[in-house]
Amino acid sequence: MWDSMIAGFMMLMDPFRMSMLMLGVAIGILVGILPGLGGLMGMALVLPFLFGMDPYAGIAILIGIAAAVPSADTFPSVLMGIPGSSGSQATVMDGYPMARKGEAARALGAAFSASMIGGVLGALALTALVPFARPIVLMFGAPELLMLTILGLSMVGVLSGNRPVLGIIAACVGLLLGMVGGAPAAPEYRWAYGVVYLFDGFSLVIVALGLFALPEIIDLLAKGGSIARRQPGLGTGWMDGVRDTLSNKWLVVRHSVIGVTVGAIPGMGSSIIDWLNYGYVVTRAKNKSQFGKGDVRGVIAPEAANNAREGGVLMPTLLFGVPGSSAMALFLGALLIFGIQPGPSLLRDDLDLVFVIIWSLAIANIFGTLICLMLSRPISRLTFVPFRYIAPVVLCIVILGAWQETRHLGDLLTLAAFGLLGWTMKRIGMPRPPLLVGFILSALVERYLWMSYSIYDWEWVTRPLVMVIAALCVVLVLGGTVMKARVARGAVERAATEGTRHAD
Amino acid sequence: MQTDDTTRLQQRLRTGFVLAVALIAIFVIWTASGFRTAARLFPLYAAWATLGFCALELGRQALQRVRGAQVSDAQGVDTADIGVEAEEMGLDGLKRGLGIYAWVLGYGALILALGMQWATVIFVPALLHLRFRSDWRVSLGIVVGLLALMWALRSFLGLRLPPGLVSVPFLF
Repeated sequence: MWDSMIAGFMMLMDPFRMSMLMLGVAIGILVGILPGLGGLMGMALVLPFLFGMDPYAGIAILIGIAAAVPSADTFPSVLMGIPGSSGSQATVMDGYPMARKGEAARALGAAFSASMIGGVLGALALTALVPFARPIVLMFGAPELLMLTILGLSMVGVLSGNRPVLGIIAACVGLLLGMVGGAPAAPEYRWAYGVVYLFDGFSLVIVALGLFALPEIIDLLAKGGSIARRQPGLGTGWMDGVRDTLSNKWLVVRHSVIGVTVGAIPGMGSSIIDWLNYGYVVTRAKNKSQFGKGDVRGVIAPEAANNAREGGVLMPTLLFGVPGSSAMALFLGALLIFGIQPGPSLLRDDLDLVFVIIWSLAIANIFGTLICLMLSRPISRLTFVPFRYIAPVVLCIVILGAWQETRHLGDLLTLAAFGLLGWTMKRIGMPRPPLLVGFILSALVERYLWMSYSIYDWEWVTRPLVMVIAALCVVLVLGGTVMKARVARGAVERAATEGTRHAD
Repeated sequence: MQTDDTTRLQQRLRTGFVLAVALIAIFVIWTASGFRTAARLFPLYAAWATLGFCALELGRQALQRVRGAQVSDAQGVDTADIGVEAEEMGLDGLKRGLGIYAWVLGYGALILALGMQWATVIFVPALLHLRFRSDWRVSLGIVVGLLALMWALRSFLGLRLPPGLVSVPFLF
């Protein structure tokens, strides 16, 4: 194994392959900065140019894109309140309020340094798990995967703040919206009414852009002024962010481990991991008062996790030929184009290549985040420009991003409809993140529910791992509820004390 | 702190939203019965659960009204979503937001009619000048920048721009 590790490193150090890796990082940063254009889009764009290229160089480009997007997508999340990709939705929750307080550079510094550490830890985990991963992944059948998706849904309670029932209703709306189109378990189109555009259901990118981007553009334009209200701390704020990450080193490690572990389970997309980690950091924190208002831990945890996740999603992709994410499906396709057959035989016959991939991931993460860190100061200044000047640019990019999904008139109509839904929800105090979680998990829950039911009937609930995950769900929900009740009681007591003081 | 009128408006809108969700759930239950078992199982479970939670929330809201209690969302800790600022919560804020949404819809309509480039050339100066009274030179600069961005995205990333129904020729 050590020989292969060194051989893989030497192969990657070839100048052409390294330059291709850097090209991938550059493309990844570009598509990450533009909201709506995620890693899948970046990989799809370069794939046609990889035919006939040296396989190691081609793989380096793709891994460069995959590794750089989770870092670069932090820019729009923090600076504009718009998720740069599906994996940076939770970063908006605290990153954007930080930008509005004039701490954009600090948020970015914390996010990029956490991303770098998370990404490297992800690559290390992949290295460590290569010999042992096979039996672990094989333990997960449909019932266990169903329970993991339900675990994701149970985080809705935590994500719903002081309005848990409204949050659950929002998640249910997400589940219902996710059912539109082809049924995952039967040859049937539901609520498509013969409209071809609806056969594949609503696109996640458009739903996310509509729910989060358009309402923010509308409200900021309606309010006037700039994104940030104050201008202090821009000078060296990014170093404060790095220090924040270093002082929360165990938080970074913990969420990187979660990112890798959950990422290794096929179908657990970046958005689920993002929200799962955000929910978890809120649940575990002793002082929750600043979450949603600009707590740096709310930036560090999801950012460490979504970069570490790339190490996790590569595990099923390389070990079993089962794509760990949609972008990895494309990566898998590229491997097949290069004549490489992923699976146990890859570990047996071409371990050097596995380590080229791992080294590419680690190096791309380091360079990607360093480049982002260097760019963070000039780009942070964007938050002090009057938003009316930024809005047309952001709106144009959002529309372009949505249009790339199917290039159909329906993309724009869906974007407008979800924009109105998101704006209405924001205005009436219905939490939007649970809707997105429900939407993402809808197809997965349905597929695994049907598989479990048709294979095991209802006996699947007695499987040991299912019971363990179910217990974890209960602990998380109860723990979250108890802690929230405590925090709410504390807030009411504080308000009462302040009221008495004012009366005196 | 929110005023009573703002809180009341928000609560009424929220009740309307929950009622709409309940109606959708009833519609799902009603229409899903025609699907095959594999396509029906999950929608039925999910829709019944939705209906149950909507009933719970409507009951809670009704009880709150009967008691005459008003719970301000400013109380307690909320980690649910990016909040709307207090001054934007009222009827005026609602109208301003709807006005901007109408502008966004107008941009979409222009894109569908004339294509992305011409729509941008018309929309950006119109928005900045008519709505925000901005300097026309700034509008021009933003339009030129956006056209350059579109050209770059199209040339280097191979992105396609939405074409219009009316085929008006453009520079690129």
